[in-house]
Amino acid sequence: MCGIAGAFRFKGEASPINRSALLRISELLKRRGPDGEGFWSSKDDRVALAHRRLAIIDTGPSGAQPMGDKTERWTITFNGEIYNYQELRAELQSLGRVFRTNSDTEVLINAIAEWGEAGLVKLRGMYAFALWDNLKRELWLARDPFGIKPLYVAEAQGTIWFSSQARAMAQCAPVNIDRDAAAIVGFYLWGHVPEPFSWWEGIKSFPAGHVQRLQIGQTSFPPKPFARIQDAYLKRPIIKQQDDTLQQWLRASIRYHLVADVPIGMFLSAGIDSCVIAALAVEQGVKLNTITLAFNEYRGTSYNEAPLAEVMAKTLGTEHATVWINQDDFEGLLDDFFSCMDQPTIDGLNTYLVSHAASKQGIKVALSGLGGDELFGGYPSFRRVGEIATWGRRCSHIPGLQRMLEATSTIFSHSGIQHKAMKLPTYWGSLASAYFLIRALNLEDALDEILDESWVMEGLQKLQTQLALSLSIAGIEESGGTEHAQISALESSWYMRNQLLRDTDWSSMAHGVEVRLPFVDWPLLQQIGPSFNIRTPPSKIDLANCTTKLVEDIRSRNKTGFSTPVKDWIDAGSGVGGNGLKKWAAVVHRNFRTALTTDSAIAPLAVH
Amino acid sequence: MLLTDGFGGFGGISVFNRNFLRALDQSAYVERIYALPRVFVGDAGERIPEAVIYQRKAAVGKIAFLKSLIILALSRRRVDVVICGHLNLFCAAILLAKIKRARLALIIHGLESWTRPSYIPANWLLRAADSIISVSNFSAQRFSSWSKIPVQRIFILHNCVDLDVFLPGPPDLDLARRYRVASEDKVILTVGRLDTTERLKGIDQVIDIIPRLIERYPSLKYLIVGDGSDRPRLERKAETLGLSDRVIFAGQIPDGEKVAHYNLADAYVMPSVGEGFGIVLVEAAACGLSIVGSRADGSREALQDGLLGRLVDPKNQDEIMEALIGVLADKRAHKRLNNINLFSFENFKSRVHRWCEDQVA
Repeated sequence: MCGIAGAFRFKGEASPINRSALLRISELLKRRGPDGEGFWSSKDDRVALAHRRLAIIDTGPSGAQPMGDKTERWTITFNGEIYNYQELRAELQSLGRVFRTNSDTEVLINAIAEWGEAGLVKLRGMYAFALWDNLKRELWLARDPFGIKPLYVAEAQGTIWFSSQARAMAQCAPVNIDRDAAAIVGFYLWGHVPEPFSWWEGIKSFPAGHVQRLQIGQTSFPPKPFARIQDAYLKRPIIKQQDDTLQQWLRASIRYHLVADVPIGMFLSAGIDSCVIAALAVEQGVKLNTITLAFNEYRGTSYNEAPLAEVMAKTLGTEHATVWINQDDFEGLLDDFFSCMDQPTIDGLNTYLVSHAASKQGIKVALSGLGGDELFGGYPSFRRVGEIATWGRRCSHIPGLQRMLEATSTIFSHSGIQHKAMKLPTYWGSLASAYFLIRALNLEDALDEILDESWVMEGLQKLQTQLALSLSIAGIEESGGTEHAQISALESSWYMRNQLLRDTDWSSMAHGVEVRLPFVDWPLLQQIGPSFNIRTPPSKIDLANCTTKLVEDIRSRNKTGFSTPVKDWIDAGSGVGGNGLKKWAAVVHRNFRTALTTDSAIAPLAVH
Repeated sequence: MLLTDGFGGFGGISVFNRNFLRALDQSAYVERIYALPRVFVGDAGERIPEAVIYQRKAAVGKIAFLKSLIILALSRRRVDVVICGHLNLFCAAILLAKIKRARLALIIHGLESWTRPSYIPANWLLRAADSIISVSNFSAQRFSSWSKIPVQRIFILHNCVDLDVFLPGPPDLDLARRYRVASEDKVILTVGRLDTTERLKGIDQVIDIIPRLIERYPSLKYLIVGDGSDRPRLERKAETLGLSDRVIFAGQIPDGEKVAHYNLADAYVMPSVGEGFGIVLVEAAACGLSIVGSRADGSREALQDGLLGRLVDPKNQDEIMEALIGVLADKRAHKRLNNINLFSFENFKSRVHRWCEDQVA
C-alpha cells in the first residue's frame, strides 16, 4: 500500500522525461508511503517509475519497489495489496516460476508474466500498478475492478504521466492544469468529482477494472475492461443460497483481508457492517485493535456510536479505543485536511479523523465495513429510488400529467417546498435518473446560483450524467435484473467509487494507514452478486445473522449513517445558503481554490 | 460587484475589473462573487474565475441591470460586501448595500472621480462607502479635493499586467505587412479609445509634431490602436497635414493581437491629460518599449515617476518631441526593466487580499 508515479515517453520524438518533476511528484506522495522510496528508469530513459512505500507485507528491503523480476524482463511500481498472493505464488511455483522475495509484488509480476491479461482476474485485492515489459517494450497500467486504489493519467508532449494522486501530478508534471468544467460542475452536482474527470483538464482518472498496454510509437491505445461491476450481478445462473453460503463467502473475504506482516486494526462503529466484520475476524482467531470515533457534540444522542461500539468490543474481547473529537481538534487539523485532499469532496473528514487517531495508536492496517450498504441495501436510496421510478411509471399513463406537474413546480419554486420534491417529475423517468435525484447534492437547474453559466453549460455537456448512469446498469436492465441489483450496481459504480473509496484512500493514506474493505471484494461480489438479483435479496438482517456475537442493540439499531458535527463546526454564517452539506461544499471549494494557488510540498504532520 | 464592464470588455477599467475579480477569486475570504456588468459584448473570451457568477443578463440595458439588481437584493443570497466598480453606479450600489446590510466599497478610476459628477449631488452620499479604492494616488488626491474624504482613508490599488503575456518579442511580419511597415521604419504607438467628448490621449499633439519628427526620422510611422467617434476627425487631420501614409489607424484590435502590436513599435507615446493610471503604459513597458508619457495625470504613477519612461508636459509639443527623439535614439529597445515587477499580478493580488482582510477585520 503505497504511492506510485511514473512517466513513459511513448512517442519517438518526445523529449526526455523530466526526472526532477517525477521525483517531486514522488516527494508529494511521501505521506502515502513513509517507509521507503524508490526510483527506476530504463537505460534508454523511455520509462521511469517512482514508488513510496508503506511496508505491510514482506516489510524488509526485499519488498522494496520499483521491483524487477528474476529474468529482468519486468519492472513494477505497485500500490495496493494482493490478498491471495500466497496461493498464486504456490501455483506459479508449480509452473516453474522462481521467486526471490516473499512479497505480493513479485507474485503480481509473475502472474502477469505467466498469464498475461488473464492474470488480472485471478487477483484478489486492491491495486493500481504500472508494469514495464522490457522485452516487448510495453508499459502496462491497470486498476482493480472497484477502483479502490486510485490512478491518474495525463498525456503531454508524447509522454504519459501517472500518479496515485492527481494533485501531486498537477503540481509538478508539465500537463494541462486548467480547471475542468466537468469537474467543477460534477462537484456541485454530486459533492465529488465524478470519474473519469479530475479537477484538472489534462488529468484523467484511469478507469477501474481496466488494463492498458502502451507501446512506443503507438497512437491510440484505449484501456480495455477486464471486470465490470454490473456483470457480477448476472454472470452465473441464480443458485438458491444455502443458509451459510453468505457467511462462508464473507469469512473467506475477511480471512484474505487479514493477510499482513503487521498488526491489524478495525474501524468499529455501532453499525451492523463493521460489527459483523469484527466478529467474523475475531472468530478466526485474530487479535484486533478496534477504534471508534466519537464527538463531544453527540454525547447522549443516538448519533453517539461509542457506547454500543464499546459493548461490542468488550463482547469480542478486542483491544478497544474510543477517540473523542471536539471542535478544537477539528480546527487544528483543518489546514492539514485540506492540504491532503486530492480533489474537492464533501466527504473524507470522518476517515481522515479516525485514521489520524489510528496512526497515533500505531495502527498501520485497518479493516472497515465500507461497502456493506451498497450490497445489503443499507441506504435509503434502495427504497426511495424504486418508489420514485414506480410512481413515474404509473403517472406516465396519465396524459399531460407530467407536463402539468413540471409547470407547477416552476410556479412553486420559491414556496419553500424541498427543491428535490418539486423536481420529482423531471427525474422519475428511469431508475438511473431517480438515483441521481436521490444522490445529488444539487440538481442541474440549481447550478446557475452557484457557478457562472459558462462553466455550467460546458460542464453539463461533458458530463452527460444521465447517459453515463444508464450505461453503468444497462446490462442488468436489459437482462431484466431487479431494482435492488441495479441500485446496488449504481451505488457501487458511482457513490462508492467516486466518493467513499476515493476519499477513504487519500484521507487514510495521509496518515500512513491502509484501510481494507472485506465487503469490497471482487470474488465476493462475483459469488454473491447474482443473489442480489432476485426479488428478496439478502438484507442487513441476513448479514447480522452471519454471526452470533452481535449485540442485540446493534442488530435492532436504526441506520443513522456515520456523520460528523461538521455542520455545527463550520461558520454558520459562511455566506452561502442551503443545507449543511451545500455550505460545506462551498467551504471546500474555497479552500481548494485558494490552496492550489499556493500549493507547496505537503509536509508530514507532526505526531502529537 | 457592480461594474461597467470586465470580461468581454475593452479598455483600462475592464482590465482592472478582470484582474480584480481574478484576485478576489483567489482570496481565502471570498466565497462567491456576483458580478453585475452594465456592458457585455459577445463572449467573455476567457474563462470566468470559478468563484464569479457573471450575470450577463444585467448587461442588456438599464432596466435589465436594475432588474438583476433587485432580484439579487430580494433574494435569500447573503451579501457581505457590495463593491461599486464605477462612481456612476454608486446610487445603485448604496441601494443594494442597504437592503443587504452589507459593507459598501467604491472603486475610483480616473476622470470620473476628479470633479464632482452630476449624479453625486452631495458629499454626504459618499459617506455610505465603508471603503474606497483608487487606482492611483493621483485620482485619490483629486477625489479627496472635492469629496473631502481624507486621502489616508483611500486604499491605493495600482492596476497590473500579466507579465507572462506582455513580453518583448520580435515584430510580427504579418502585422508589419498589414500596416505596410518596413523593418527599417521607426514606429511610435498609442493605444486608447478615440472619443470626441474626451480627446484625452494627446493624439492631436503627437500628430502635430510628426512633420517635424520626420525631418529627423524620415521613415517614421505613427500607429494608433483603438476606435471611437473621434477617429474620422483625426483621419482628416492626418490627411490635411499630408500624413496619410505616416499615421496608421488600426482600429479596435482583438485582445490576442495586443502584444504583437506593442512589439511592432519602437516607442510608445501618450501625452495624456485624463488617465487615472494608464494600464497601456505598463503594458508597453512590459513589452520593453521606450515610453513618453504625461506628468499631468495618473500616468506618472504608471511610469513610476519616470523610471519606466520619460515624463513630459502633455501641452508642450516641444517637450514631447524632444523626449520622442531621445527615446527613439535609445539603443535599449525592447528590453524590459525590472521595475515593471511592481505591477505584476502577484503584487496586485496580495494588495487585494490585504484589502479583503481589512474588510473582514
